[in-house]
Amino acid sequence: MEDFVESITRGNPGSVKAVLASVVLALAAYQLILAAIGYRKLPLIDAQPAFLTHRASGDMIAVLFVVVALMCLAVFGFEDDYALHGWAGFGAVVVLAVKVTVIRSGKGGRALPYLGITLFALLAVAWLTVTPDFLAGED
Amino acid sequence: MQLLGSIAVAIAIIAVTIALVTAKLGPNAEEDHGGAGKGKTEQSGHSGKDDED
Repeated sequence: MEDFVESITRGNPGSVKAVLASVVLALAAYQLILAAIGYRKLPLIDAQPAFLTHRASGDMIAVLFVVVALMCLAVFGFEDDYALHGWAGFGAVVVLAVKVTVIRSGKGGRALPYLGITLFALLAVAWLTVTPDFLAGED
Repeated sequence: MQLLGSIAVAIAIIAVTIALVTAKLGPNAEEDHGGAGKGKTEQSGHSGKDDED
């Protein structure tokens, strides 16, 4: 698996991961805005197109997030120096799984905003604990 | 129309994010052509997680 990731990233898994993780976090922030529009907390546009885009963007985030997580595990594994990063990523996977389950089941819709905010927070922690240092070349 | 607009914003966010992050990595790419670099893409040095192994 590690060789495969090294191969498809041309030996730069960290750089590719930084770009993809940043896209995930930026889209996740946009997700919060779209959800606020959908719940009429921020009535910039109608709720339906906001939720449609929220769903489409969320699907893409989920795919990218899983790809980044697998890359991270395959190449770097669990390291003590990045315990917070690892736990935040693990927590994000759990919350994402719960969120998808709630959406698919059609029950517990009231929990979705809280799950979404929690997921964003965990993604932000996972990003903040690695990517800024990596981009600064300090890592 | 609003749907298209909101999707366009999402695409713009992706494009800008990729541009900003790659710009951070960008000086390294320039050094790939100019040599003498310590770029993350070619380095065997110590400034990137890529080199941990």
